[in-house]
Amino acid sequence: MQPASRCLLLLLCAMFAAVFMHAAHADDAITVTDASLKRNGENWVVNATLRVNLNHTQEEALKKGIPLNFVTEVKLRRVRSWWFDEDLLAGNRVGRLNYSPLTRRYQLETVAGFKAFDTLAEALVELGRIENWVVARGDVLKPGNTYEMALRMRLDLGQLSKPLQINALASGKWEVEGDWFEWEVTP
Amino acid sequence: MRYLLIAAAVLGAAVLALLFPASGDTPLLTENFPALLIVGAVIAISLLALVGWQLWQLRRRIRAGVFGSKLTLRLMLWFGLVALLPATVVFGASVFFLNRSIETWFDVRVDTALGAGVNLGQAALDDMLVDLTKKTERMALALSDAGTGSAITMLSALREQAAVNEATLFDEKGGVVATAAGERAGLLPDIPERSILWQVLQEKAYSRVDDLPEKGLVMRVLVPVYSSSFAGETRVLQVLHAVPPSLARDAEAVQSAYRDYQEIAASRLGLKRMYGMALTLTLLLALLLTIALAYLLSDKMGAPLRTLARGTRAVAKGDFSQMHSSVQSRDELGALIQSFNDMTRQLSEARIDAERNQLQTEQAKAYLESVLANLSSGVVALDHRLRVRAINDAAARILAADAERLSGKPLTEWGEAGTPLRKFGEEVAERFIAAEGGDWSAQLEFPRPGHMQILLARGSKLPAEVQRGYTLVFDDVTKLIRAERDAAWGEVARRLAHEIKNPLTPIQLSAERLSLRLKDKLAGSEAEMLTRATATIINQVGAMKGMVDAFASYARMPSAQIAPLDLNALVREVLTLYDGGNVRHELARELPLAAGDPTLMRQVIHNLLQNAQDALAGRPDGRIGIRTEAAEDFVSLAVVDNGPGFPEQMMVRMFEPYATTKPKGTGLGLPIVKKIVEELKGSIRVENLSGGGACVCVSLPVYKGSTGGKQ
Repeated sequence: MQPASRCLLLLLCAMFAAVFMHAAHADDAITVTDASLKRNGENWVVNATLRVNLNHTQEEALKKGIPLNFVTEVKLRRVRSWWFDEDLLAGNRVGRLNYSPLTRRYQLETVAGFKAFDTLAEALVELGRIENWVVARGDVLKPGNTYEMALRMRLDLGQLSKPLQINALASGKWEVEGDWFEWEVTP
Repeated sequence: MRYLLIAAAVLGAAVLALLFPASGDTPLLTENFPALLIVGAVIAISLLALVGWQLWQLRRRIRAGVFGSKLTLRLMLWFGLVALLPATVVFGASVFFLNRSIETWFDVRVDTALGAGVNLGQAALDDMLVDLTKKTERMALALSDAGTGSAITMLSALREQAAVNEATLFDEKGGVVATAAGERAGLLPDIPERSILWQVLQEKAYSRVDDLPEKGLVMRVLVPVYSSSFAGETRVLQVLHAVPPSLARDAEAVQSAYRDYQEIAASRLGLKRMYGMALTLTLLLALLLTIALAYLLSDKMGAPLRTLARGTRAVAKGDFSQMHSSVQSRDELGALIQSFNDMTRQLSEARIDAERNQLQTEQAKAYLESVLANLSSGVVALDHRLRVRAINDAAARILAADAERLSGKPLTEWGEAGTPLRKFGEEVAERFIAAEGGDWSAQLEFPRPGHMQILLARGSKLPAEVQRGYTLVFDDVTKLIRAERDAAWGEVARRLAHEIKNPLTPIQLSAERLSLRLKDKLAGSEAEMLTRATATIINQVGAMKGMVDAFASYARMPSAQIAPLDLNALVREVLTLYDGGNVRHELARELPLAAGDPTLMRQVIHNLLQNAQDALAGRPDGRIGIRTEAAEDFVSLAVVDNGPGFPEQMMVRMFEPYATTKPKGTGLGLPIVKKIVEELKGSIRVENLSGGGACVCVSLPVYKGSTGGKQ
């Protein structure tokens, strides 16, 4: 076999491995179990439940006092059968998970406010609960149209310190990025 | 390319300058760290491409055999090596110390101390929390019996007594029953979450320290209050108390230090990687820059050498015009080029001088050679062993030899054995030997076919300081001698005619007179004797007169009147006077007109025929032939007989007066013929035929006058 083709084969193997590993990651990462877009008075609000899992590395880091920032993102698109879908809006909100060694509690800071939990599981459940997140005004979605809503949560590596970012980039153990959860909305 | 390099260096330095602080805390640059890395990598890659391009250029130049490119490569490699060694050492040392220093940050003792500090804070907070719980339980006990009305006042009193910041009493549904707060507390009481209330109502006390964003460390204790008076309704007492500021501050400080430490500890690998990357990038940039710079420098350093080499090559080819004023360098290379220029200039001048000298020498030599070549004298230069070194054209012509074949040969080996040339050479050699280095001169005979050539030869030794050798100079003096002889004979003839002719007439007259007077007086035998004697005198005088006339005619040759002459007609005219018995003529047709004098030519023909007849006297089978021929520029007339031919000893002196073989004759026949022929610018040749007999051939030039042409 020619060296070049051998190299190519190796590369292909590596790519497959990367894909599988990524898939394996996705199991550990954040999954959306349930999400909905509802009209609440004047506004459209998102309610969702996400299951957030941290792997060992992340949990260790958290327990050492390193804050983790999670970003929840939503996208709203109008589905058009005759043309490309129209991007209507995109929004995000930040949840900051922190462990205080002094009080031995997990602190979660979101737009909803500051909360402290005794266990990580509680904090993660709270982190994964999205209630009444106002994403659009009432007149953005018009009746008769079909809209596509997408939601995901990911760990914001950019908020980590630089050396940690480099670690994260190099090791791949920090990739916490849920797939987009998409559902259709017909108001 | 220089500017490209400078730009790369500046950009690289900027990137590195930004890169190193970037690993610190500057937030703006922290964001751009990957970008900086990418820019650095791009610069490195472009530098790599540049170096690759340079190497490729160099390879192409080496392939093409451009002078100095190998030197450039070598210098480049050396520069690269010189740069690589310290850079690698510094890089290795840097990486080593970097790792070491990063590792030294993480000390087990520091780790333990920080952990212990945090534990201490935890313990302190726990203690205070336990203390506060106890206080709260006491307050709850005190409140358990109080009614709604008294609860507010009691709570206030209890709060003051327990010295806590805030105390609030809730009912089962979470409604505030009573609240009491210190000065610093807000107007509204802090409401706990429902889950906490629910937990407390399940008879589980709640005590936590909250790290609230604005308020700092706050202890919160909730206990159930079992009231006997409210029909078993359970209430919940919440007490909030801020951790003392000094303790809170210290605990926070310890915690933040612990956090920072843990964060750094977690990211130590990243830090090492980051610094490592920065260092590697630095090394790469520095090395590549050095190599690229090395190329430029070696190219620049090699330039004078290349110039020098080009100059040397040009000089080797003989081109002295390569002056390199372009290289303005003050170092040794400049001095070298200066010396090279000086050398070239000197060489050039020397060569110009040499050329001038050579030209002069050649001119002189050519002049001498032309003089020698145009000299009528034969000149032969001989070396000390009498070998021919040089021979001029005249010498070859006189000796009728090939100059090429004579050169280098000793005198004694000239020509074939037995030939006149060999004899001449041997004679000359003998003379040189006999003269023993002195000069000699001699008149030598050199037989040529048809006549004897007289050469006046002079030999001399070259002065010792020039070159050992001899010169032989000889002149063909045959004509000169003959002319002298002819002149002498002419004089003799003239005087003879003059001196002898004068007394002849009186002698004749006297004899006639004697005969006339005494004829009658004598008688008999005496008279007869007289008659016979006088007759003899008169006859002999007559003969003498004839002889004198002949001399006179030889001496006073009338000058020739050159006119177109039809030789054939003249021959026919003359032949009418001879009985045609034994004379046969063979005349060429279309014979061109010759330039001649009819009168003189008639005498020539007469003389030749007379000679032939004389030679054939007494031979009954004698035959005479007369023949005319046309050659290229000559018309020739040949008279042939089958007589005995000329005696060999006569051949040489054939044309001298009084050289005769005939018993009776003046010996002036052929000399007159020759004189006439020479007067007419013709030539005469006498030879014995192989089958016996002789041939005299006279050639006259073709008439080329205004009326010339063929008949």
